[in-house]
Amino acid sequence: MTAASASTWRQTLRAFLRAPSGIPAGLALAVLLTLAIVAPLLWGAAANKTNIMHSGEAPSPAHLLGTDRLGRDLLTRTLTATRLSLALALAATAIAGVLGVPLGITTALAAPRLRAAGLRLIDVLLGFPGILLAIFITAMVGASAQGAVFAIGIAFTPEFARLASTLALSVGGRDYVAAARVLGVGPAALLRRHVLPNIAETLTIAVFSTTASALIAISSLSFLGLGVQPPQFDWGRMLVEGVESFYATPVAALAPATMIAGTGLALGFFGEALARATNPLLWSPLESARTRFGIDAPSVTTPADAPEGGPALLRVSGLTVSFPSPRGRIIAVDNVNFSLRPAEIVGIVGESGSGKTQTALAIARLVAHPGCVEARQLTLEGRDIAAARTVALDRFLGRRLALVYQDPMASLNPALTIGTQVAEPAIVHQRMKRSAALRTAAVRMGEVNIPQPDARLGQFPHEFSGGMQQRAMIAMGLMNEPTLIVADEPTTALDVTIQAQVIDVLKSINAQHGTAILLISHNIGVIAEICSRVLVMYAGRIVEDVPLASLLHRPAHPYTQALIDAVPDLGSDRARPLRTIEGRAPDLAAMPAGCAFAARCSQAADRCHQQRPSLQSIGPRHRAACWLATP
Amino acid sequence: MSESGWRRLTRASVFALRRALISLATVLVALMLASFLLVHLVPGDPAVRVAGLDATPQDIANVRHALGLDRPLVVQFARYVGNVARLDFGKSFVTNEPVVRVIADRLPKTLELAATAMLAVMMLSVPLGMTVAAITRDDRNRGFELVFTAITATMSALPNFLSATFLAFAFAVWLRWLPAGGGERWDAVILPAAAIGLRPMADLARIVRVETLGALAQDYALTARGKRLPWRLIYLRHILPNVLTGALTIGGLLFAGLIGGTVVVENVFAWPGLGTALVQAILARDYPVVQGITLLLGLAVITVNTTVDTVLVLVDPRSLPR
Repeated sequence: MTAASASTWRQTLRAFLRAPSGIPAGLALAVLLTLAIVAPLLWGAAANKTNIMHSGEAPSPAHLLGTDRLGRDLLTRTLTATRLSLALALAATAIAGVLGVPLGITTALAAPRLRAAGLRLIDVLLGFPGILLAIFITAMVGASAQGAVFAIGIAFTPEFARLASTLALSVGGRDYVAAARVLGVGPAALLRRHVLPNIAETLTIAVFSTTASALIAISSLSFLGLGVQPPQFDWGRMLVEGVESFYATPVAALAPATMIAGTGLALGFFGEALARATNPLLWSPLESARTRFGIDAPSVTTPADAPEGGPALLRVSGLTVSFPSPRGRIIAVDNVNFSLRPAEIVGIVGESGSGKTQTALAIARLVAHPGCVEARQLTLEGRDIAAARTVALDRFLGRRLALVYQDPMASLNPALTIGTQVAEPAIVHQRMKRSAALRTAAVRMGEVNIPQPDARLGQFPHEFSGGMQQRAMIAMGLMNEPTLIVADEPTTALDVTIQAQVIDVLKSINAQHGTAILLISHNIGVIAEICSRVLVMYAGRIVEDVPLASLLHRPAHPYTQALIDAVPDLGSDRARPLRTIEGRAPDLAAMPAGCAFAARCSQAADRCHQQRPSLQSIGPRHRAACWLATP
Repeated sequence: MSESGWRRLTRASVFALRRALISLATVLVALMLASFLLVHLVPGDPAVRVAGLDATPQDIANVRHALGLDRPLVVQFARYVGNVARLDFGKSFVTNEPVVRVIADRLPKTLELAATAMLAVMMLSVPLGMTVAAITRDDRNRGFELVFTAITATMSALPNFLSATFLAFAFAVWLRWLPAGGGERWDAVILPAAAIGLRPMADLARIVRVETLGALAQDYALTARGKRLPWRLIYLRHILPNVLTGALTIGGLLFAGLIGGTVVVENVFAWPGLGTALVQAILARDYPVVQGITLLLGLAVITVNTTVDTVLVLVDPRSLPR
């Protein structure tokens, strides 16, 4: 064993021991195995000793579980039956494995047509309940212990065949197997060297769960009188004898029933713990300690900008979004302040992880659990939308605020028609009749340039192209004539030509209805196309709030400058590599004391590393958080 | 729904129906062959069994000729298929009663039991799974989740003849609330139906929970929340259809398993259905009865599986090839 595989093995063992069910199940199996070996030797004679004088006795010191109808001691009988019960189950599993695994692998490695037919056959057989197949087979071979083992073995063969074929197919598709094939490795060698070692682990785990099923199935057969015949006895046989005198001595049935259930559970849990241990993907999140942190009030306060020209439509002040994590509190949005005037189109730009999407979700009150949102002020049309959730607030937000998301395909419900989804907001929040809402929906869809909107109402999302899906999302948002649309990367998942069309739709809505738009994008080109003002976010903070004209010509923050430089245009020298921003964004759980961008900033001074700059006004409607801009 | 919506639905059902019929026909032939071969694969001579132990060779030859056992296998199979098509499954070796009458006597009781169990599973597991998902969404209430997982895992590991035994002990022997056997009283169906349904219910509730959590994590759930829909609309209109698709795929196997469960549990509660008749017939080596009942049960399994496949296409428009 190499050092690497030894350490993997140790890791697996550790994971196994950590799994909550692994140790008890393992101990139970060890006890059962010991019993299977020693019980018939120690108590075999006592278990078979009949004594009609003591028939059907209740538990007593002489017979701890009482006696059965023939006066045999129930405890020793139950323990002695362990060997036969386990042996039959293992034998049936062995038959299923020996027949099923080669069958499955051969099917998987067969020619395509043969493979398809074989897989279909396995599927059909799997569709039949194992116990029905087994009963059918016992009808042929007769009722006996051997017959039951054979029947269950055959009935479980399709399960192994299916598992083996699935595994072999997935291994067969891997690059290294393809490479081996190209190198001329024959089928036998391929199987032995590449396929078997890779599926052995999963098959071993399957053996445990199949043995549990086999034990139960054989007990079922014995219970029906189709399996073990007297004077032999397994737990199933004891159970049927116990049930006959159920009312008088229930323990005679309950003892073997408990053994079957317990052994089945132990085998099942052991297999599951083994599967968990060998598959790191299943290591439960329980192992990563979940710590909760008290949320303290935002420490730095900066004045919210006072918008010119009338009252603000949206006012955001001291907005902070944080998530608990094993490494501490992650502050995704850090004390963000801004406001939007009616009919204004404002963009938020930043790299992924800059907090722009969380800002949008926080405004819409859709931050996922266990995220924590705090704000000094969060108002839409002067109404507090951070207040406790009520029906009235839901209705207000449902009518005033519309949302458009990044991936239209995923954002539309695949099981509902477009018409149902687009019309829904009007039905729910305006109490419109369904027929009237559908007519309105067709009008809205026409407004966003969806051709033949009436015919398309009955279609499902998968019948729409990506651009059409995003238009439908926008039409859905327009149903209640909102005052604000928050669009989170609405064009990112679309082709460039479609992007421009969607942007045009948003522009014309803004012109026609006077709807304000908060557009979130990582693409400064898209932002420049439509926005009159831009918020630049970095590491959860707004670093610059700038009118579009100044953004392009006089950006104040070095990060904004770097973002603009990173956009290629037709004048870019194609011989030179694209400009990128060196370094990485800081860890949100461990933010530096000074400016978050200082580590990547070419102009950073000592002060930038030590003291955090706040967002200060540096010109008309222009704010920046940078020591270089505000001396 | 608009006109084009209806057209699509019709196209979907025609396609689903055609696919169902093809696979039904294939499996049906295989099933007939298997049940036909049952009698021929059995060790010993069926003619000897019918004629009785003290029959003369001449008697046996007569019986063999009367049963058509002296013809080539292909001819016998064709005759068997013809007979089955006319609902003639032969006569019981033991009682000489036509098998079709045995089935007609027993089938209603089995249907009553299976339907009760199936209905209970459907009505309980889907709301249970969705409710637990709603309570444990986004990793909320982990303690509750652990309890739910432990209980359902135990329930689904418990084979139905054991839950039958435990249930009979608790409710018939100990509490004396319900009868432990027979099919006469109206409430006699409760315990056997529970014994059959407990395991599929636990499995389906787990599947529904996982599927619901998966659907809640999808973007369309965020869209629904963003529309400020009341929670019942979010769960019933937006989540449920997407959950049912996944749940039905796996649930189909559970329903077929229900048929196997009926056979076993009937015997625990002395329920006068097909399951008890089948086991008695096997023990008595009454092959025509075994043949008739296994054919019927196999047919039931195929019907359930095909129905589930068909419903899937209708529920989920995406699984329809374009």
